[in-house]
Amino acid sequence: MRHGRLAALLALAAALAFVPNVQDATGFPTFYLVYSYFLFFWIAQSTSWNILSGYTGYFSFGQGAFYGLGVYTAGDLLTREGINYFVTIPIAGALGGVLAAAVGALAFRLGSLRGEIFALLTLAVTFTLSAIAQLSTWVDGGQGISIAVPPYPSFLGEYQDLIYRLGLAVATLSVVVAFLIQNSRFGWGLFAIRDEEDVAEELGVPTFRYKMLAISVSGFLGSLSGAVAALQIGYLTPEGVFNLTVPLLVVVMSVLGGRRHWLGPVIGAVVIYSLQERLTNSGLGDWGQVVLGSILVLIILFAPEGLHERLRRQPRRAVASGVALVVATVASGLAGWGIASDWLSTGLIAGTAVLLVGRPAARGSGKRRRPLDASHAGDAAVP
Amino acid sequence: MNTYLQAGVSGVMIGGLYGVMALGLSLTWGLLKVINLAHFALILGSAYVTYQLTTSTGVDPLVSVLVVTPGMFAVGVAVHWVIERFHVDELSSLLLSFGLFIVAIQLINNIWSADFRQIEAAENPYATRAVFIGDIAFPVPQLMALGTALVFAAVGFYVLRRTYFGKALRAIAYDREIAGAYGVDHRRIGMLTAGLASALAAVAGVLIGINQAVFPQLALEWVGLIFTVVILGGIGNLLGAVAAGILIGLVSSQVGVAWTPLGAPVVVFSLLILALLFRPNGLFGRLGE
Amino acid sequence: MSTPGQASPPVLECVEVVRQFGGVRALAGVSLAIAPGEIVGLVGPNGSGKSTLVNVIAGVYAPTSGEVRLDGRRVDRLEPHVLSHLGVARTHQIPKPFASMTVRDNVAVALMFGRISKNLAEARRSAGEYLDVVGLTAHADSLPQEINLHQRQLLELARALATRPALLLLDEVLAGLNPAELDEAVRVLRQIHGGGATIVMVEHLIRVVTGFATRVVVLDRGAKLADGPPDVVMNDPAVVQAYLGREHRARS
Repeated sequence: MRHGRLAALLALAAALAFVPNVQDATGFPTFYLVYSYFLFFWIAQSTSWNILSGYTGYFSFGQGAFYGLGVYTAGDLLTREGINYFVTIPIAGALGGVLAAAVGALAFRLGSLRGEIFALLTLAVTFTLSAIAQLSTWVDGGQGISIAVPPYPSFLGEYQDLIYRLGLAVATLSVVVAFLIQNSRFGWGLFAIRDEEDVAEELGVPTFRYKMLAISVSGFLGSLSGAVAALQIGYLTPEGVFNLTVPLLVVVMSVLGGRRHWLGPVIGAVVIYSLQERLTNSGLGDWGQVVLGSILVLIILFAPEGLHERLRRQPRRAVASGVALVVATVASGLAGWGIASDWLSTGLIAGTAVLLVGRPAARGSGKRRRPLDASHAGDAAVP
Repeated sequence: MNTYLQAGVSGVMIGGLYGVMALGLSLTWGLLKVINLAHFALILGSAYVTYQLTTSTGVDPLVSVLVVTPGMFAVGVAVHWVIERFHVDELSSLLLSFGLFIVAIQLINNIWSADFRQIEAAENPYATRAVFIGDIAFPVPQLMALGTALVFAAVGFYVLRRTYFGKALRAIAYDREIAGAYGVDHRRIGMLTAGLASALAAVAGVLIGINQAVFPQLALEWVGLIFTVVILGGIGNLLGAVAAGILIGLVSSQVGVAWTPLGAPVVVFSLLILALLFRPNGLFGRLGE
Repeated sequence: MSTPGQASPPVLECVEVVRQFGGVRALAGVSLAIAPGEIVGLVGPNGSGKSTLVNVIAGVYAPTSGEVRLDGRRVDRLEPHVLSHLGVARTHQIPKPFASMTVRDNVAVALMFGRISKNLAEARRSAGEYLDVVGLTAHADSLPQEINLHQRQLLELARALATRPALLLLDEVLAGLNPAELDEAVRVLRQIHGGGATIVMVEHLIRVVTGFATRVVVLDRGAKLADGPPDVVMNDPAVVQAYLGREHRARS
């Protein structure tokens, strides 16, 4: 069963790799390739975040650090040292893994300071990297770095095709890794750590080692994705790269989609990115972050387990949601409301709304209440 | 040499401001175990209100305190009520406050634009005044910040150590359930504390509005810095927060002169790491100890 | 110090274990040796250091000074997960199940990471055995928040058992039970003991363990006050004094 799903994922990825060829043949706008690239980018970033923060419960606000490290490593090695772009990608990933391991070695050794401190530490790391980017002229120095098109094999297509394919590759890798982890003993160890770290340790889970592995994988993937992003961005500046967009969005995407499952960040990324695009296209760009922040607040209060969990647990609601999605997409298409991607966004929003309305069946709602402590000793099942 | 001295003096005073900014955060974190990122939005919001009030009505900036303090107190209580009502746990409250923070910053951006806003010197009786001791300037706004910090620290210390309310707070921080067994109502005290912390944020915001120009992204710059202050000072330790603020202000200023202002965050971050390694409970110990 | 004629080393040995927290001496030099197959009741008034001792043995705290030995081998500086693989398991006074996993999966995790580790599918299958032992089979697919406190305590026990321990540390596993539940719990414990485990039970009241333990160790303010068969210890005047009437109340 497991291998079946994995095979399906890889087959899908392989099929998607040929979309640029389809574009050459049919001539649909390059805009959709770029749009898809961004979907891949956000899927990769939020999946990588979730491997650490969702699976282990150690919330990180530092995704921007790995992303930025990846972007600048690729950018600097390419433009300052003339290194082959394709070589810079794994180097960026490796550096991301090393940075992650360093942060983990520091944070995870400090026994009494777990969740909150970790989140802040990761945020501080991001700011520090940003400062370094501004101070060091090799990295950037505040002048900005312009990325020229690097030499690449022509069979990979045009420049945007290349970026699309690289983005697809990294996204696929991230999702496959998340999938494999989730269904492995390692993944169960991480979930145990998330629920009760001390108990997990006492039952034989090597918590320090597992957390280090999780954060290193997360950093590696985040930086890998950043290295590819360098091409898409084109002109790197510390403010542009190290702002709060990446750290914020990956959190909202994963929280919305669901943090317990590899599909969660994927769903969240698709919904949020298309929502953001929709807002920008409607001229409401200024309200983007208001909407996002509000979504985060509402999700935490009313649906902390996320969309995926709801889909899984309420099949009828899931079907209704799917119907809403299709109906809304078709309707906005017929009404000519914007372009094709806007129709899809509308559909996604409708589907999401249907799924979120109303509280779920009480079972294990994912909120970590405190019914399991002594103050409720003797309670029957807590509703 | 004079540059260092002047920088040091300014650094200490600005550090006092950091202390005031850190007080509310330290209080809710140490006591209610809630990490409230929205705290920074409240500070910024108060600063903007101060700016707007003076700019629109010409009234003395300090008058804003009367407006924002009760307002923010109410906001703080409301947010706390929501967190209790929905049984939001610690880490989720971090995310929740993050969401509120983002919303607030964007709203501020939409209302006032991303431009720098500063009370005109003509309207701000404090901005241009300074006390001079020899060649060293003590700008009045910064003096006010330091003074406020010291007063709050002293009051906080007295309240926590000598009054019933303070003892109740420390008991709750130490062990909520046992405190409950002794008749301490953590819900009401929680609301009061949350409101108080927000009121402190409001005061910090007014001081900032008097002291400098504001822009929406400013709140982001504070996050790392003030959290460092809170942690170094000992979570929940009010005196510690002020002391740590002053320390960090001093160190940042010297680094700024000796090296470059951009280097300050790196140094502060390193201080944080060292503190976490060798003194995880802060330089001065946590609340409830 | 093993009794003469005993061939195997003690399962557990504490040698002058001291544990200090800041200014507080929770354990002031406790020494004891436990032979395989014993059922030792570890009792004492509040603050006597019972839970601290269990935490030290389980590797949660390193002793400030002194040693802990398992089967003759020194283990006091090892991490808890290593101790788990060496055969030490413990339950918690307040049950701490994995909230997002079913009862079955809680046990399955213990099986996956225990001394004889299994993969997920096998672990889920084998989990049923342990649920049977403690009587939780009917709730195998429930979530922890759906079962009551006593059932969660049984889950703690099942989880601890699933790691196949040589030494089982029980932290007030009998607290707050009604007589029927108490009998049931003791029945389960006897079954576990019959399977070869050495048991150390921390309990607040001696009375609760007298029918079951082979030996009672009394701690008071971090030091060992008495160590011997239950009826001897219960009648020791120093012990009675330490409890200051709590014992009398428990009897009536």
